Formats: sequence, C-alpha cells, structure tokens
Amino acid sequence: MKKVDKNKLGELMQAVLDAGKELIAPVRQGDHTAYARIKKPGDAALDILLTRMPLKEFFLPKTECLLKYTNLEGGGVEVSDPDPLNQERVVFGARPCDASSLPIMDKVFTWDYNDSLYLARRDKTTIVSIACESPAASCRCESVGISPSAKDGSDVLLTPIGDAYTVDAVTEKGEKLVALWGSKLSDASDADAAKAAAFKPALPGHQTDTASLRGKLKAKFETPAWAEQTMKCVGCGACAYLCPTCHCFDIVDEKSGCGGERRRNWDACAFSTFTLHGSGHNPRAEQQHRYRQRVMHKFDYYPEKFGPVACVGCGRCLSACPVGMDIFEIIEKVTADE
Amino acid sequence: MNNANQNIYKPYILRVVETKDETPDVRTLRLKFDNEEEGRAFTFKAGQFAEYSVFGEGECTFCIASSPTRPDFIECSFKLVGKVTAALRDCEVGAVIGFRGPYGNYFPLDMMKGKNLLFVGGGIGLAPLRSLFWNVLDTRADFKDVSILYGARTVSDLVYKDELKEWESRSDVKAVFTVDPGGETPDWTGKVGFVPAVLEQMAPSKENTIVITCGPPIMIKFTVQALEKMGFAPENIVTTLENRMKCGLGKCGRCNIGSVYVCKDGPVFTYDQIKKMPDEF
Amino acid sequence: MTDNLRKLARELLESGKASVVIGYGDATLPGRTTPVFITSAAEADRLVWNEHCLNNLAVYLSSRKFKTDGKIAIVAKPCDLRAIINLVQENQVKREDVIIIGMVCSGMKDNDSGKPLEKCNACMEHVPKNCDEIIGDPASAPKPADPNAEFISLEKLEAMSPDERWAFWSKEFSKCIRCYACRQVCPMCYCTQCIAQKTQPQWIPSSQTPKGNFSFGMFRALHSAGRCVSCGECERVCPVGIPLNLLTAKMRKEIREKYGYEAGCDPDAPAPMCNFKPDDKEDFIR
Repeated sequence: MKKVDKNKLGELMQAVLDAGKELIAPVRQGDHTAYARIKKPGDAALDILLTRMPLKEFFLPKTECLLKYTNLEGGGVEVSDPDPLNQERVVFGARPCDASSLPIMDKVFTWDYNDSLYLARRDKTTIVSIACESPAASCRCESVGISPSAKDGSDVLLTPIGDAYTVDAVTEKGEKLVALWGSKLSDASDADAAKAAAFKPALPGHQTDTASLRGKLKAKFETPAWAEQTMKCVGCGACAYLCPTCHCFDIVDEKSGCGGERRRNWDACAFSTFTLHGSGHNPRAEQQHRYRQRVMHKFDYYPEKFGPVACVGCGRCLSACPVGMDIFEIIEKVTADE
Repeated sequence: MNNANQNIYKPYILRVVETKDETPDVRTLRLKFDNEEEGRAFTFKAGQFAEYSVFGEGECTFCIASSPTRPDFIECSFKLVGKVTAALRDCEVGAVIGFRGPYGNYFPLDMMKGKNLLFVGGGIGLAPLRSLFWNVLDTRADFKDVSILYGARTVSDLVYKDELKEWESRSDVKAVFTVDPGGETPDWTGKVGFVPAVLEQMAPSKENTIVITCGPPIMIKFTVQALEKMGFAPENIVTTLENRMKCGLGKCGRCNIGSVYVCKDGPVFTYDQIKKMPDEF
Repeated sequence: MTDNLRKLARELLESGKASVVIGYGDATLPGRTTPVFITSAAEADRLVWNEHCLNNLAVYLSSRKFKTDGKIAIVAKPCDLRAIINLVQENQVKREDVIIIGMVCSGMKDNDSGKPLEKCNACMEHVPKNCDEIIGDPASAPKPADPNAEFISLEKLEAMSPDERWAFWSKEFSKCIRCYACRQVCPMCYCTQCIAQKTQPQWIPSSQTPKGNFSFGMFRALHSAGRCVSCGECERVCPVGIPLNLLTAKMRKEIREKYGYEAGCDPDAPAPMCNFKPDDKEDFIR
C-alpha cells in the first residue's frame, strides 16, 4: 500500500492532467456544488463533504444524444451514432457513496442488452474516492450497508490517516493510475495500513436497519401508511435527479434544421406523466403510488432482480427535498406493525 | 449479452409500402426493410413488439401485428393518441420509419400445439392476437379447434374488417364478433353485447384449451373473471400487457410492474403470473 | 407562539370547525421543519413554530389539494397568506372553506447557513392581514422594510447589457435539471397540464438542454406576472441554485410600476393579468 501527504493531492491531480487525461473533481459553482471537469487542480474543492449533484451525470448525463439523423433529399434519412468518447477520464475526490452507485447502475445497463454509451463512459473513467472524515447529519450510508470508507465502485481509495492518506488501488485500473503517480507516492508502513483499516468515523444521523425492514415492504404494499407518509410530496423530480442510482430515462426527438437528434433525458417516477398511457389510463394514478414505486424499486424490486438495494445512503434526497421527505423514515413508518 | 459495441438505440430503416384505415382512428402500416439483407436476416415471433419512430417526432411502442409466417413485411396498427402516432398517421407510402426490435417474449406457440385455442380480443387489442392468429392458421394442422371472439365498441371500431369476414367464412375457425350495446348498425349480423357476456354465452370448454386474450384493461378484467368462473386455470389464460415503454430494452424503468420488466419478461404473461404482480397496470 | 398555535389547533379540531390543520412539524434533519397534516386534537402537539418554517403551505390548497370533508385550517406566514388570497381571487379555493391562521413573523432563516432569508430582509409585512386567526403579538413584529428593498438584487441584473444578461441566464439555466421543483412548490402553478408537458404542439423542448431549460424558465416567469406573491419558494427549493427570484422579482417590479398592484395583498383589487372589461380601450380582447 502507498500513501500521500494531504497537501500533495494537487500534484496527483496535475499528473492526471499532464498525462492528457480529463480531470473531474468536486467544485463550487457559486452556492451550488457539483462534480465538474477542471483544468487546474486549484479548482477542485475537496473539502466539500458531498456535492449537491451526484457523480452519475458523468455516466448517465441529464441529456445525451443517442443518435443523429439527417433527412435526405428524395425522402430518405441517414442515421449516425453520437460522437464516440475517446478521452480517458479520472474522477478525483469522489465520495464512497457516489462510487458505490456505479456498480448498481452497471447491472441495469448490462443485463441482457449492453448499453454501449454508458459502458464507454465507465470504461474510460477511473474513480479515485476519498473516505469521509466528518459525515453529515443527512448521511445514511450505514443504513444500506455502505460505510464512509467503502471501496465498492472505486478504482483507488484514499483513506485519511492524520496528515496523509493511504492510497489503495482497488482495481486494475486503479493500479495503473497508482503506477502513473509513481514516486509522488511513498510506501505506507504497516502502522499506516492499520490506521487506515481502523478508520471508522461515526455517522451523526439516525441510521435505519433497511436490511431487516425491506423484507417487510412487499407485504405492506397496500398499507394506508403510504398515503399518510406521502401526503406532503409535491411530485417534483428533485429526489430522483439528485439520486446517484436513479437511472430512469425518457427518449425524445429534437429537430433542428433538416435533421436532429434522438436524445435520452433523465425522467422520474414521481412525475404523473411517467406511466400515463395514451388512453389516459395511469397505472400509478396518485402521488402515493408514485412515491411507493420509488421506495419499492430501490428496496424491493431492484434487490429481487439484481441483489443489492438501489440506494447508497448519500442523503441527497433528504437534504434537497422541498418538503422534507425522508425515505428512511417512510420505510420505518410503512413497515411498522399496525 | 447480444451486442458488443453496437448502439442499441439505433433503429433499422423501414419504408411504408401500404397504409390502411381500420377505423376512424386506427391505421395499419405495412413496412418493408430499406436494406433487403437486413430484412432477410430479421426474424421475430408472434407477441413480440417494437419501437417505431418518425424522425424528429419520437418513438412509439406497438406489437408487431403481422405474422412471422409471412415474413415479407411487417405491419403495425395504432390508434391516434399523441404526437408520435399523429406523425405516423401522416406517413404515406414511401415514408421512412425507424424500427427497433423485435423485443420482449412471445406467445408460447409450442405449448399451444395439439390444443384448442380460444382467442378473445377487444378493440385494438386484436392487433397482437392477429399476429398469432395468422401464425396458427398458416400452421393449422398443429392445433385442434380454433375459435375467436372479438368485440369493439361500435361496428366502425372493429379493426381488420376484411380479415374478420375471411375468418368467419373459414370452416376450420369458429368466429364470433360482437359490438357493445348501442354500437350496432342496422345491417350488423354479429352479436350485440360486451365481450365477457358473449363469452359466457359461448360457454367454451376448458378441456385442453388455452385462451389468448388482449383488449382494454376493463375487458380483460371481466373476461378473466368469466373464464375463471367457467373453470379455466390461470396458467391456461395468456394475455399481453401494454405498459408505457420507452427503451424496450430493460433500461429506462418505465414499464416495470414490481420487479417485472414488461419489455423483457413480457409483454406476454399467463394470468397466473399476473396475479403475482402488484396491482399497477 | 407554538403553544398558542397548538391550543388553537386543538380547539379547531375538537369543535369540528376544521377537519385538518396544515402546519409545520419537526423534520428528521436537525433544525428543519416539514409540512404536517393534523387531523386530531391529540396530534396537535406535533405542530411547531420557529425560524425554520420555510415552506409555503398554500401549495396544498391549489394543485396538490388536500382532500377533506370539512374546513382546512392552514398556518400561514404573512407572505404565504398572500398566496391564499390570490388563490381565492383566481377561484382555486373558496375563502369560506379555509381557516387562515396568520402568524406574526419576524423572519425565517436558511436551513444550511442559518442566515436570515433575503426575502425576509426585504419583508414589508410581518403582521398577517386577511386572516381568521392571528398567533403572535403584532407589537413585537419588526418594522417593515423599504418597499424597494426586494428589488435591490435586481440592480446588478438591470445594469447589464442584453448580451451580458443573456450570458448570465444561459449559464444559470445550463445547470437546470428539469426536476420541476420550482413549479411543484409554487401555489400559483396549479395547471392540470403544464405547458412544459404539452407535446401537441410542443412549445418547450423537454430535453435538459440550455434551450429547453431556458424556455421553461421564461414561460414560468411570464406566467407568474401579477400572480407571484414573492414567497420565494421556487428559488429556495431549486436543487441547483438558479436565482429564480430575480426573474419573479423583475415581473413583480414591472407589475408594480405599471399597475401599482401587489398580488395577494387586497382581496378586492382586480388582478391585472386576470381581469378584463368588455369596454376595454384595446380591441385585442374582444
């Protein structure tokens, strides 16, 4: 295992840029925070505990071109693929919860059909995560079996040990990046490794034992508690769009001139139009049904099909909800014995 | 995994070779592959669906309404309900259509061999049944008795009118057609009554019989109730679900009913399977 | 004030005068509140009143209608109260169906920074008007701010050239994710089908591109003209921090200058964008 001084992270980022790779890091944009492409290490704001926007937009952008078309004279049409992604990318300073969302999305985008657009982005990107030293009141990672130093989805994990971080190459991609950094890293001692292994900051917020509660959800599908607990939901898409694992999308065409694009756009089950049929029939007619879908998809349907729950406990949906909905509180309430 | 680096959202290019107005708001398009080689390589099974698109307007999901036994063309029938169907309706002969598919599962034809088949359809729900029905007629010897009960709100809402006449005249098919009370015309010779009620009058035998049904949700609900009353086992009632879809590939998360992706695990389900799903369709 | 509020809620529910009290309760995140729907006197103690009662609860009277047989009692800050009055004027709710519990308000604080909200610094109405009940001592209320205080933030924008303004908004709206939180929390956005969802014809591209985002933002701003009560909810809930209040403030300023009108302040004043007379001097309306 390697280590690096805390004040040397800029050098690691610079090495990424010098190698001709794109660098993505947490940044401040006025009061807003997000992961963004940066041109110099100084633009990174690694002190941000959790950016408002999740990492997913670099793999499933809020809007992207699926294909381009041009109408030909004489009535035909020419269809072409979007421009391929050729650039290697490094995300520096992801949080373990955000990184953990990627293997969850991978399962959706690779089962049966491979989504080549998503996979190209995954393939070209190396993720360097930094374990969280001071989790916030909204952090819920331990509610879903993740920790502030979880490795899943990261290629390299930096774990704080006093004035330095241990540098742990989790994957082959991570090893390549560690090799690129070379002498900028020093060898970690056994004591350093032991410190990193013992790293376990306490989460200040209430954690919900979803592992034991989620088994009860199916039986509680019809409980009136759904209506009570979701009464205040105003039906916006903030929770879904800020969620690192929400991946539902829409496909629309946009014309321009004598051609245009077919685009994939984020969509959300909270919207009343999401499942609305052309006939006017809506299988999820009320907001309570739509919110229930959100909970069931994450904690029952997805795990049934793919294994883990589709939530990484980042807490963005709690802190950003206009009306203070708390998905974990709702799980506790709807599964409670009547 | 059936693709390596292909763009799974890229459609085939098909051309409209024939259009037909089935009812005032339902039209059928007959389509052919622009690239003949692609057309020859293309295969599908009855019950599968596809994403049809008009470039610049968007994609829309319908079943393939023609039979795999007649592979020279693909047909789709659709009701005018929104932006894309309006654009498809404007497509005249020669127009270019995007086509992704075939997607989803299909009717269990092998399991149906040697059995009596009863088709129960309503409105535009005849479209997926029609694909299977012609498939069955084209391989008629494989099946025992074949019956069809089809209904619509009014006489003018009956789709595939020419084919209904053909089926009625065949000796190897028992065909019963009905319209809802008030939907009949003076020269209507068929039944008048809702599909489930007419079904009860027909009193089909459950012995060695598989029922294939598709139609509006309310018709399916009461048809299934009637069938259960007559002793049909849920696993011998087959239907096809029409949920709102976008990708058809198990990605976009729109068609899910519980953990079931209608686009991948369906659209064809037995009533036995449907009973296990949450009531969200 | 919390005690008085709970007492009033208990009375309203016990007497059957109201079947529900919509108010604020503690949220699961520390220091925050969340909308609560109190339907029995025994639950009245869930109600709280503090500096974090940010939501404009009037939204539950319009598009996200709370269904109940009796009257709805609703806790309202003076700014939120204007939304209720405006909804009454627009025939979205009957005045007699609602019991308005007006709160004397000395200002709210931001959930994250703890600083007073910008709108509260510019507040002209700390004491509720047009309500059925008042909680709090009007004498303790802060002095009203200067009427132009709410437009101070506009000065920077108005000083920009059209090109600079275009660049400013293009950058801001490029962040938009089209979650529609701004629309969903707005008590005045109660259309059953928003123009943003219409596809025949499609006025607004649904893609989260600058073009689509920008046109959605502009449509919303224009639809708010003469109707926005400056509760500031759209800007507060925007997850990506677009300064939407600058757009609505500009609309309010134009309406004030041209019509001398403030939405939701006077139940009897005709709303400039919602009223017409057959003898209007312009002929476009006939």
